[in-house]
Parts: sequence; structure tokens; C-alpha cells
Amino acid sequence: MSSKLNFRNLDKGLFAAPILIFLIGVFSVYSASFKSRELLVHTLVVKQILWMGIGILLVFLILRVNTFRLRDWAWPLYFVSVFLLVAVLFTPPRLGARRWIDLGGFNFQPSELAKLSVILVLAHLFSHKRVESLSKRDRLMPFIIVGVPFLLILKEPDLGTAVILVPIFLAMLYGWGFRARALLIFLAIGVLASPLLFFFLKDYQRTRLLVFMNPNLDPLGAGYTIIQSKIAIGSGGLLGRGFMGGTQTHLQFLPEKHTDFIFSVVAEEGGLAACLALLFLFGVIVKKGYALCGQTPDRFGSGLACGITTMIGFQAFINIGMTMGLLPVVGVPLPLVSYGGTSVITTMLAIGLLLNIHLHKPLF
Amino acid sequence: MSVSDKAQRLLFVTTALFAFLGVNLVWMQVIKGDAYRALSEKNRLRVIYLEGARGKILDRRGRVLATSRLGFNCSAIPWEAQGAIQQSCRVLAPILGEDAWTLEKRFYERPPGAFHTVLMAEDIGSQKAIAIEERLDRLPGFLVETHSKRTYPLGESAAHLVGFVGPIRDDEEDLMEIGGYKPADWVGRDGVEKFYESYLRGRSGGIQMEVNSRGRFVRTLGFERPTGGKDIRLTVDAELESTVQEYLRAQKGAVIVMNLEDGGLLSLNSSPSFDPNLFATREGRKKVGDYLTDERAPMVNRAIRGAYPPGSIFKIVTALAALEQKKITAATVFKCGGVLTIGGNAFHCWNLTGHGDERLAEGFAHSCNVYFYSAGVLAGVDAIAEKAAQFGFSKLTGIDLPGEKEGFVPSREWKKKVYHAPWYEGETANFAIGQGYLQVTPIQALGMIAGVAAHGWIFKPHVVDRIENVKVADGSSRTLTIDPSDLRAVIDGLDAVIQSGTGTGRLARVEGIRIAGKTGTAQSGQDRTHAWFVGFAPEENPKVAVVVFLENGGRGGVSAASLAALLFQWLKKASYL
Repeated sequence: MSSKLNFRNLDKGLFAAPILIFLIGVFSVYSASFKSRELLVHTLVVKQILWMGIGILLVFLILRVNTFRLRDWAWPLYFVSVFLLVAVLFTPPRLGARRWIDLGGFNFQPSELAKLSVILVLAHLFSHKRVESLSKRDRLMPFIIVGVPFLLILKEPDLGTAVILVPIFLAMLYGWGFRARALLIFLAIGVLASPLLFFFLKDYQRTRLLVFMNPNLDPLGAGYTIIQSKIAIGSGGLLGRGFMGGTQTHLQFLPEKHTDFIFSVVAEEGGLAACLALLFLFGVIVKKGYALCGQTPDRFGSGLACGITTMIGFQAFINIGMTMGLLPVVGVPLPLVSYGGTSVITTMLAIGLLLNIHLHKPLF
Repeated sequence: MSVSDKAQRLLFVTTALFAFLGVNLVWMQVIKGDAYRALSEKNRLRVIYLEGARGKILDRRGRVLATSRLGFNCSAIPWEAQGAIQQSCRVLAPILGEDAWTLEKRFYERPPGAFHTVLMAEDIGSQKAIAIEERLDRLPGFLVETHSKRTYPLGESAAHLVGFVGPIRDDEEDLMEIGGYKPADWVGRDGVEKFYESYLRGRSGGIQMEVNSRGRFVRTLGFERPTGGKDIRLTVDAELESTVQEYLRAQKGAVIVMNLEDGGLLSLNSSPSFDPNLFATREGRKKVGDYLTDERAPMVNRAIRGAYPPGSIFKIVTALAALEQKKITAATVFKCGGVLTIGGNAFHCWNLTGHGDERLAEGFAHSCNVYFYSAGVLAGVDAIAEKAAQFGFSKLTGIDLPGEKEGFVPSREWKKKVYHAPWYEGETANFAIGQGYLQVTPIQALGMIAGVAAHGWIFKPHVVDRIENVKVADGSSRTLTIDPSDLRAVIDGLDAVIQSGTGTGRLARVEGIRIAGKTGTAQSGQDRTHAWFVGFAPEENPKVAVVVFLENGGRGGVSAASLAALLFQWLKKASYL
């Protein structure tokens, strides 16, 4: 394989789409976190742009590595993630949860890294074992690989990130060779068992689920967010109320508006046009990602593409769905739009991996 | 099925999900868009926050030190009030007794770009509030909000102890995000109010209602009951607290009285003080700026945040160090000729004519510098520093009040590291009489004398006894290993300070109680010296320990000892002794 990289072969659409998504996010985060007396350099937006800068830098670093080389990272990264997930449980709680490790001003969220490392390890595992030739014990392996971080993340608690692991896992098992029917049965058991899980949930998570069923149950507390978010989205109309023009956003009706509920800001200020543009851009990533999955002869690359694409696609779906009141509120950031350093950098790492698979794909 | 077929299927599923979102977006934003916009624009949702009552702060007998009362504010919602602001202000002016033009100016003076409500008149009283409520239909965009206002019946007297509350600031996002505070909430800013914030605070609830374009109530959408905070009972005696503040008047300083049963404080005062009631209103908060620029620093709690040279009260530590090192005994005699030469430098006693031959007890009684120069040099800097650390100097006492300072105890290593110079014996002499680099807080000085009084038990000082009937004061303590005979020798010295005819602390004498104590007069670097007194009573069965510190208060044996006498008299009258 040639040692010289030809960046002309870079998938430009797959590179441009995340940056465009990020730009929509930058305007929305600026609007959502606007304070009249704050200097621009102190705003969250400047931080967010900094994270993105680091993210893009990482993309180019990843591109220099051969895809097959990435396997070597899989297990070490996985163990580091699990270690950090354990470590985070010993940090002081914030907002009733232990999700962040304070790295001198920057709050690192290990669960974000864990998602990516789970995908890498599964892709690595699946690349040298075929489903048909597996012993029963071997079949258990992927469940353990996902189960450990899944339970640790649930313990934090961070329901959103834990939930995201499920579609990723199912999609990758499917790609590996599990039958769709077996997976659907597995999913059904999971759903049926979830009332059991209900007892293990924290109070606020339970409230959120109940409120999802009926937002008017608690219109000031948990339901408040959903009602206000729906009003924000609905009042955006076709073209939105203009940048910085959203009353829902600026009247402090929307909580967590620069993080998990950023989509409401996009919708209120940018209207249907901005929402569909955002959906289209995520669609571009998803389409290109799954295409990579289907076309890459290397099984590792193919599995990796499958996991990453599912991760980004489902995160977008769950986040947008919850702000619209279509899904229960679980804390999932909208990739590259929500404010948050760990999320931005992890997503860009994932994009970097996709671009890498494309760039290093053997040509026929 | 090939991998590429499977990828196709996954793409299909995801696309379907995205399409589902898209369709719903069209439904919400285009088809139902007008209805939602109406909700956000014409018929507004309004949330009236109901504050959960903040817990009360009570003294040991249940007397109120901090409580909340209901107050009314008149506010305007800018985007609703704007249109008719001129007329509205004319309606409002006679009710509030203010000029219409002033009100209008206040409305326009709000920070630009802010969407918050504008506070038009604060704490207006129920009469005016009702009058405004009655005329609300002529005041579009105006509303009367209720707020609980914190009041402090003791005013200045307990300000440093009880602290105060202030409104949350815009830049305190952490509190809002993590603590679940809302923009209009109040948080403890100092003292007990701050330290026990998480117990005292109430959780606000509220009513969410729909109002029409004229701001009139249409219907209630939801209600969340507010919950109150917990009441906190202190170990402090409110009467003593105000009495001490009177004793101190405007004199800079601090006085602390400790109950030796469990280390609970009977009073903690710092002077000058401030009026915590001012923080309740915006007008009042403007005056707070004066406090902050006042060079007498009335906002600084000197009892726990001021570090000063202790002067002669530190001789207690020096004596114990020398006794423990077996360098002196109670019977060791040093001759004071008014001056001692160490390393070629003359070190003077405060009595320049000299005290003559003295044993340890006389050394204490006269607070003779020469005696303690000699004892200190024999013990050495390391032993004294070690003993000081055992008594808790240079460490936080762990009192349940915010912002405690550590003070400073020098050492040979420190001097070498910072000054790249060896430690001189002359410095040990200064150290031995509590001068030089040494800095202690009044609460640490109290810890020292309490430790002596309780025969080596060092209590963790605390001011809170119970939170809502749950005892929180653990009375935790640690022990010093002091030889009982050493302790006896020192207590005999402290006894002589008060009882002896030539004792420096004789002004602290009170009829009918045997007091042991020590005065201190510390060079401050300014014109006037700092005056100290530490002591306990009754000597044989100690019940209370006190520290009196008067910044630039002159001689410890005069100002501080006299104030201590008043304290002991009061404590006797109130049956604490």
C-alpha cells in the first residue's frame, strides 16, 4: 500500500456534511447561550469552536493511520474507557449524576468515549470470527463487551448514552450475521423486561418516562420542558423567527436549551427549512456511512462503518424525537449541534474513522 | 444475504425514521404552526414561582436569628408593557408615591437585550400591592410578584455569625444548572446562611397559567407545591451575641465564647459589623458598596478570617514546648534584667527595668518576655512549631462557617525555602513571645485555650446544634498528649495572671469565679498594638473558654482583659458559670 496519502480521494460530502451541521449548531448555541453583558470570547460558542478545531485536527491525524492499524487501538481504548467509567462513579455528583471527570475546567464525559470504543472492539471481534463457526461461549462474548459499559453507564446514571448502545449493538450483530428475527426477539425481550428496569431507575428518570406518556402530568416540572420545547418547534413555522428572534429561547422558557434541547432553538429560529436541512445533512452521513459498510471488503472497516453510522443516525433520531415530544426525554446530545466538548470531539473522531475507511479502501 | 444488502436495509430503516421526523415537523411547524405561534405570542404561558419558605435560624433557646417575611414587588414584562408604558406609569405613580417620569426611566434603564421582567418597585408592602392588583387592567404587562424577604432581628450583632442571603447572579450558572436554582432565587452568601444553604433553602414550586394578551388569567395549566427548608438551631445564645456586640461597639476585633461541654460556641462576634437586612432590597444593596470600600472592612469576619500575631498569649505554647522538652520545670528560675542578649542583639522585656528572679508562674503573671525568650531558645524553634501545630495553629479548626483562614506558623524549613537563609536564634526568641512571622486567627487562639482548659481535649468548634430536631453537632475532638504535670504548671501560671497582685490579667478578675487566662499585646506594624485575652472559668471545672481580640486595641491587660471581665460577669449572671 502506498505510504503517500492522496487527500484528493477524500470523500468530500462526508467531510462537508458534519461541518455544515456544526455551523447550524454554532448559530443556535450562540443564540441559546446569549447574554447581553458577556464578551464574545467568554461565550460557549468560542469554546465549542475550539472543540471543533481539535476535532478536525484529529480527523486528519486519523486519516494518516492505515485502517487495519486501528484494530490495535480497539482493546486498549476499550479498557481505558471501562476504567474511566468506573472512575467516574467516584467523582462528586452533579445534577444528581456522576458523568463527568473534571480535567481542569474541561468536563470529560467517559461514556462518550465508551460508545466509540465498544464499536471498535466489536468490529475487531467480528472481523476475525464468523457467526457460523462460533461456539456458544464465543457467542456470549459480544454481549459481555457491550454489557459491562452499558451497566456502568446506566449506573452513572446516563440513560441516554446507555440507550444509544442498543441500536448500535443490534445493527452490528445484524451486519455480523445474526438473523434479523433473532435480534427482533432479543429486542422484544428487552422491551418486555423494561418494566423491571423501571424499578431501578432514578426518580427523575421515572418521572420523565411517565411524563412522556402524558406531559400535562407535571407541566411545571418534567412536562414543562416538553411542552415548551414543542411550542418552540411549532412556532418556528416554515422559515423560523430569525436568528436571535426566538421568544421561547430568549424568554428562558427552554431549559437545557444549548445542550440536549438545542434542536428546539434550531426549529424556532430556523423553522422547517433549517430542520429539514439538518435532517438532510444527517441523511448524507447515514447514507454514505452505510454505503461504506456495504462496499468495504475489509470486514473490520465494514463493521466499524456500520456501528458509527448507526451511532450518529440514532443519536440524531432520538434527540430530535425527544425534543418534538415523540420519544421520552433521555439525555442524548444532537451530534455536532449540542454544546459539549466530549460529544463534539467523539463525533469528529467517528467521522474521521469513516473518512479513513473510505480513503484506505483498496481500489479495484 | 450479502453485507451490502444488509447495509441497504439498515439505511432503509434509518431513512424511514428520519422521514417520520420530517413528516412530524411539517405537521407541527406548518399545519399546526399558527396554533403554536399563538401559544407563544398571543396567549402566553406564564409561570408564577412560589418560593419554598427558607428555614429559620434560631438560637439555643429558640429565639429567632433569621426568618422570612412575605414581600411584594411590582414588575413589568418589557415586551408586553412597552406599548402603553407612559400611561401605565401615570397610573402607577400615585400608588407608589413616585414620579411617573422616574418610573418610566426605570423601565427603560433595564439592561439592553434582556428579556427578563423589569423590577419597577421593590418590597412595596401589602397596601400598595393590593392597590396595584386592583388596577391591573390599566397596567398591561405589569404584575405583582411575591417574594419572601429575609429578616435578621439581631441586625448587626449576629451578622458575621448568621450571614445573609443575596439573589442569584447571572454568572452563577453552575448553581442554576446543578443546584436547580431559578433566576429569582436567593442563596446564602455568608455565615450559617451559606454553610447550611442546602438545608435552609426551600424548593420553589409554581403555578403555570395561560394569560391573554392583556395579561389576564385564562386558566391554570399546572401547579407544583413549594416545599420549605429546614429550621436550624444554633448553640449560640442570642442575648450574649447582642451583648458582646455592644461591648465591642465600633472597636475592630472579635470575641468568641465556647461551651466546654461539647465545643459549641455560645457567641461569635466580629466588629465592625454590617446590617444584613440591607441585602433584602435593591435600595439596600446599593449601600452595601460602602461596606465593601470601608477601610475598616466591616464585611470581614475577623473571628475566623483575620490572622494576626498572637503576642504573649502564645507563651502558653512556648511553655508547654519547653516543659515537654524537659528544658525547664515549673521551678526553673530566670532572672529578668529588662533585656536579654541573643546572638549579639538585645531583646527587651516590655518592662525595661526588669522583673528580677522569676519562676514559670511569675513569668506568666508578669508576661515576662525575658523568661520566655530564655525558655523558647532552650526549647528550640522546632519544638515550639511542633507544639503550635498540635494545638491547631496553621490548620483550619473546621468550624461550620465558610471562609476560615489558616494563619501561619513558621519553621526552619520554611525560612530556608522562602528566604534561602538559616533560622536565627533571635527569631526563635521572637517566635516564643508570639511575634515575628507567626499569624493566628481568634478561633485558633480559642482552640488553644480550650485545649488547655479541657486538659488536652481539642474540640472542633461549631455553631449549629440541630437541624430540624436532628442533632448534628458531633462534639468531635482530638486529644493532645500533654503531661498532666506540665499542664498543671501552665494552669498555675494562668491562674497567677489573674489572681496575682502583679498579674497582667488582673482586670479580668470577677468576684466569685476563679478564672485562668493570659493577656497578649502584639506588635501590629501600625501605631497601636493588638490586644488579646484568652481564658477559661471556673479554673477547676472549666465550663467556658473565651477569646477577646481587639485590633489596634492597645494593651491586652487593659482593654481586652476588661472586656473579658464583663463577659465573665454576664456568663455568671446567666448561669453559664
